[in-house]
Amino acid sequence: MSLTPTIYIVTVVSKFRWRLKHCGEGDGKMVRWLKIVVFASLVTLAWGQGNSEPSDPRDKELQQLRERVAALERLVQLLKEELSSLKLNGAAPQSQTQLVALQQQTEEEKRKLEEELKRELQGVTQPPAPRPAPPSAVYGGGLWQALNPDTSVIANFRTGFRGKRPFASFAGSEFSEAELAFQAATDPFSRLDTFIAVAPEGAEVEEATLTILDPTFIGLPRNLQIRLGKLLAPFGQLNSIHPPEQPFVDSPLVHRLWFGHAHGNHKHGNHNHRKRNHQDEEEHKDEHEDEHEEHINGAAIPSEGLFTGAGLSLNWLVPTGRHLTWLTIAPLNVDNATFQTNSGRPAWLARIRHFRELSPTQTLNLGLNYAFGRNDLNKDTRLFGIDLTYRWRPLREGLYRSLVWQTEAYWGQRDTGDGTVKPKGWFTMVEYQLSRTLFLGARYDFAQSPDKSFSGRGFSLAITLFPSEFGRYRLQWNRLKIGGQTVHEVWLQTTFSIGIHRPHPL
Amino acid sequence: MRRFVLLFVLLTSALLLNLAPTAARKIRVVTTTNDLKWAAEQIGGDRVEVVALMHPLQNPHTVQPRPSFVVHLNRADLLVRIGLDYEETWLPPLVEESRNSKIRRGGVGDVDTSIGIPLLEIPAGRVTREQGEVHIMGNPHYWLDPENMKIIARNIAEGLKRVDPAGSSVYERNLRGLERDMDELLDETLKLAAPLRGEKFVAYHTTWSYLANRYGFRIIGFLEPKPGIPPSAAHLADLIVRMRQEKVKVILKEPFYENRIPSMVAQRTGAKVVEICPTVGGERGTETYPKLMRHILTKLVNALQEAK
Ligand SMILES: [Zn+2]
Repeated sequence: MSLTPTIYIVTVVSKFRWRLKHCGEGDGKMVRWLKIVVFASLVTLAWGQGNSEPSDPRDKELQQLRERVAALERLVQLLKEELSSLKLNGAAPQSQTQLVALQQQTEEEKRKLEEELKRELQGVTQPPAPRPAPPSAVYGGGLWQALNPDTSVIANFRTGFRGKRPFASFAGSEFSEAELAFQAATDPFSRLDTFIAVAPEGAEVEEATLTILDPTFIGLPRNLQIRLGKLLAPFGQLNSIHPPEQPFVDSPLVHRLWFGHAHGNHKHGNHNHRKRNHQDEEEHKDEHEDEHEEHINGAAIPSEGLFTGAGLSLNWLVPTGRHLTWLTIAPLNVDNATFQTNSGRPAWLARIRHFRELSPTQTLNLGLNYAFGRNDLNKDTRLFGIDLTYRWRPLREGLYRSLVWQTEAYWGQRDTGDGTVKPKGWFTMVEYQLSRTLFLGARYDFAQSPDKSFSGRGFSLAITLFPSEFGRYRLQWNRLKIGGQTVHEVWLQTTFSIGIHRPHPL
Repeated sequence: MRRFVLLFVLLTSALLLNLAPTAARKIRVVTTTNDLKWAAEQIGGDRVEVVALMHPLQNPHTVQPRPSFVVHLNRADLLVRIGLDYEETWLPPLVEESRNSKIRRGGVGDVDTSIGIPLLEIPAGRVTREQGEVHIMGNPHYWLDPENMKIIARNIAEGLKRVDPAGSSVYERNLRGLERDMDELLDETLKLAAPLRGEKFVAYHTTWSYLANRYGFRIIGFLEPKPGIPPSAAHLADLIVRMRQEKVKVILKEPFYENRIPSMVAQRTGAKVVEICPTVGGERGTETYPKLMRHILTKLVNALQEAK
């Protein structure tokens, strides 16, 4: 189109420039060339919309792009006009998807008509066709996909800065993990949930649970739910949530100290790590002192603590009027800083959970927890816990406002052979929703280590942004005082999930 | 051993008896929305008692589960739901927690009323989250069309016949009655909505697509750039320009969306914001489905006349 003359003129001008260098002054040829130059530059100016240096290749490109955009704009306008004239005749489809739907409607109509005619031809009147099958497009990925488990990946990237004073001499530390979740009904009577945490240190099965959904199938009462496998221990409310979905970057101190692994400084791949630690002990006996120091100042205690165990859980639902009560008993094999049950005797856990409806917008959840098992000294340890969760979400503004206030307190009784150590720990945290996408969280927590050798307390503030349900950015500030040392931490966390992730139960 | 066998037989027979409700007890129907509750009551009549879980003014996309939901689901004979991804963010875990295998997906007491609905806005091709956060299976706000209400009612009647075969003739009769009512309602509302034909509107969310489709008006844009994604400035700017070009004078808004952005857009386009609850019982004078339909269409016609 209009591009061709411009290119031609540009070529002429550059040719002339080359010539100018090779010509003597006052040459007759020169006058002729000058005429061409004047003409060409006038034309170029007119075409190039005041572009003073049309020979620059970048400007040339820009010019070409402008022309193309203008052409496309005209095309879009043309198409728009055509489309709107079409819409005036038709039933006003609004988008590609609606056109598809409309097409399906006509298909449906055709099919109906065909059936109608068939019936008339046979001379038999039948009742209207029952339940036509839904269009297969509804299932998106096709029918075969419907049999695949709900699969999701949660990628969790964290960057932390730690120092003795706020915003000064911070040491950086990075951490990232991915959580893979596979969840599906195995048959009409049971379902399988698998959560695998993958970190640079290795992969760990966080949860792999078979839930028997219909116990009547094996002759048990209907309100009884049986779970088998590696489970999240029924101890407290926060422990029912996988770390990437918890409201803070790190777990509360009591979870980190009590339910993190006893020896490793990271919960993942703890066996390898423990081996390495033993080697370190032998090889660098001098450095061990420093390591121990670090262990207490907060940098080396695991940033996450999740109480998990392998075994069985029986959960009985007691509906009581408008409210609900659950009773859970679980014998579990546990390996963490509080319990070590490799000896073959499981830890026994019991939990009573009462879920109350205060009003259509407010609920209260109260839990009483008990655990009994063996510790690393192969002596008895008992845990007692109480948890309280208050939730508020208004009906109309539910998309924009909500509040969750969660408090848990634990007491331990650890037999050491020559006495009983009684550590304590608790946390309280509140998360308030400021807008559709913005959440503000605050947490205060305190914990003594299981052997009561040191204690820590912390205050945390977190701002979380949810641009959509599948992405999340979080900035968190911690002021920790562990073993007498004050540490400031700043965490930046980005979490993204892909795939179908089942919403959290209650 | 013999005692165990006896106990087992007793237990299973007790369970089997429990599964087949006797005529003395009413059929317990749990619906997710008030619109489905109305339909279930029309079809079930005296034979059923119906509870709706969601509040009509509640945002259907963010429902906070309450313990009473589980209690109702635990005792339900029939669960009637909108289907697609409408209740997907909160209902499946509750159904599981309810320990009621009848109402589990595909169970005898599970009714997905979207079956047979000619769906709008089914994404073409591969579905990704780029298309938004919600409604990746097609638009689930399909009840604001009397033709679709007939399909909803038929699905409910089928479900009731499955769990209560003794009442089949009653359900069939009630279904035919409802279908007649819907035909009459359609004739009446088409006349009522005649001024809306060919008119252009803007809405907050894709709640009104089926209504627009039936009554011949157009929603040319949404305040949300994609279903479930909060409005962005760039998107709103785009929308305002389009509204000016196409002379859109009315913005539809559901009560559970905020007011600030609609009024921002209204201010810049001279359009009027109309708040309408798309669910039975959300506003005064919308206690039944026919009343709701008349209410919505009257409100739209009035808004359009005022704006002009
Ligand atoms: Zn929606």
